[in-house]
Amino acid sequence: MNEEEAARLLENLGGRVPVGPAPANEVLMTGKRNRRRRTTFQVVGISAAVALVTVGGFALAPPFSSPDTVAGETPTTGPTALRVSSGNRMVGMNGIAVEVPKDWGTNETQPAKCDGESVPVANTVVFPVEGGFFLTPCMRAQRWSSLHVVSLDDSAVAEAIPDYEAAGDIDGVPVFRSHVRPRICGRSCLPNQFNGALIVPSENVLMFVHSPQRSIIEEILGSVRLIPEGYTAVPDLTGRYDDSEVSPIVQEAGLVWQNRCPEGADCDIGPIEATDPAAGSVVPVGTTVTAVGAPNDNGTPVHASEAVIAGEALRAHLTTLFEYHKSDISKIWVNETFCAREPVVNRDNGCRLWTAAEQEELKGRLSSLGAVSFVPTRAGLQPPPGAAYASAAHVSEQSDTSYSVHVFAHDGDHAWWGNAGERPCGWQVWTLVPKGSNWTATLNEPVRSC
Amino acid sequence: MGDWDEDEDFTGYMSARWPALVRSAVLLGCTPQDAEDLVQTALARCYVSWSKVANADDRDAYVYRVLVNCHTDTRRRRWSGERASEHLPEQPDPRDSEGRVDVTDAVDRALGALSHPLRAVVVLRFYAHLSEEQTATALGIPRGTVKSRLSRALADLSANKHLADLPDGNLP
Repeated sequence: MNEEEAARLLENLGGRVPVGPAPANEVLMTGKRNRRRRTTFQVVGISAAVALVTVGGFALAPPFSSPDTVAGETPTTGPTALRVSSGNRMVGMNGIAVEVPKDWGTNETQPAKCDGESVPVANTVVFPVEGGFFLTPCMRAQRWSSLHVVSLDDSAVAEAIPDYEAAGDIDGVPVFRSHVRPRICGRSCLPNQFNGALIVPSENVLMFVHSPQRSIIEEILGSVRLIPEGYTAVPDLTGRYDDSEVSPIVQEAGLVWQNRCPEGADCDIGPIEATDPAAGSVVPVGTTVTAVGAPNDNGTPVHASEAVIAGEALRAHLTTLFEYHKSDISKIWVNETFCAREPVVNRDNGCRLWTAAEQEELKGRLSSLGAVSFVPTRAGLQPPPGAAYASAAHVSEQSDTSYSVHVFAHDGDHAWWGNAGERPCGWQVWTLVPKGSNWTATLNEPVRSC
Repeated sequence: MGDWDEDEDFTGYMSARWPALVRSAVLLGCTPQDAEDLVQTALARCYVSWSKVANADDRDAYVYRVLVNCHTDTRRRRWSGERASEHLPEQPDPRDSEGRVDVTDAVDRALGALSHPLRAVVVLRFYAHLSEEQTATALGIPRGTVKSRLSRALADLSANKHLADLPDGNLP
């Protein structure tokens, strides 16, 4: 196939997609609303009550309790010691940082079931992707308003400045701040939450702090400081793919990126889920940043999942296979019972969901093998005691167009659990084997890994 | 510059590019409904910084970059939010049972067989008709990588069984 043929194929396919008129007004309204959301923290009628921003124009309140604890990662030589209060860690972006409690995570969000937008699920620092940390009606229903969330954003900072109050400087760097106040209840109202924000234009950072407690917001915003010389903040790389894209970003931050793909090779690799050190961590310049493993279907880090499985007296090995082809399901599954029958035609790129009748048939076949019935994934990780052969499968709840299938099997000597679904990089297959066994899964198709 | 109307410029651009952007999103793997949502999201995000977008060296590359990023983010978020269930979230289209396999299905499946990075480069280059340079900018990768991915994608499409199974003459 040459380029012209490929273009014709795509034109053919694209031309069959019905497209309505551009909803210009709606997008324009959304865009304007987005701009306002970036400045949601604007203070209407700011009065003289700028009590929070006083000393030298800006109150650098003592961050939490004892400010003189030296962070664990403080180097013994080189840069000045990084001073962080006991029980806190420093998180930052570009040239500034604040302190948050050590047990607050990074990007601890999950998509809301109703609209897929990211919602905090724990106290966390988040780095909004392309457009901010928006609140939707759906998110309001997620009841995360008891959580503390620090959002660090570096887009559209300049546009937001006019809505903030000049608040002096930090070591000569101008800072703008909003009052800490209850969130204005418009379309993005979040009950029982206060928020506060600050902008450091020279560092291109817009920081929001959401919390049910004013004092927490004050403490966090009050701990803002310039990242000391010799240190830098790890940039957020979530969702990025290529070493060639990531490496310059990391380099620009004064860090070293450990390539995921061998030099000269063009690997198909999945998006970065997280890094070590985590995004926002304030670390010595020159620190090496690596991508950490892809999460399993529940979003649990690989190492954590392995620990769970180890608790089941199984040894786990995660293989990520970089050949994404849903019609390969039959070749990866334990046997063909697990696959939808051909022809598989649907609007979802090559394989369709099992019908109810097929599920019943699958259950029947599994039963004939002494299998258990359909069970949720996590329960499926544990083979029933004494079962000669057990399998479980299900299709996950996702959107109308994405899906996932899970299989667990165990035959006494070995066991495995696999999942497949709409994933950019391809398959993930868990291979579980009893401790001491050398058994490994065999795939019927050669796969390319990176 | 004083006469420049940002909203007018934005809506003009949107009207002109809307069909191609939506269809590109479909080719990236969205349903038509999701594609329209995705493009709306991407354009709304572009609007936030439209003065910057409008002055960008290559406006299309910028917008497609935002579109691809939104798409990537959507895929990532959906996956990480997956929850187990015994019940199917949707029923298959009744037409599926007729086993209709036509060019659309074949191309759709062939694209689905490509990895996300390969698919993106194919769609931007051969459907959105971005140049190699623009594609590289839109995807944030070197031009050489665009070339190597295109080469591999074409090889994969050539070998794809769904396209190969099409009766003679069905290829456009």
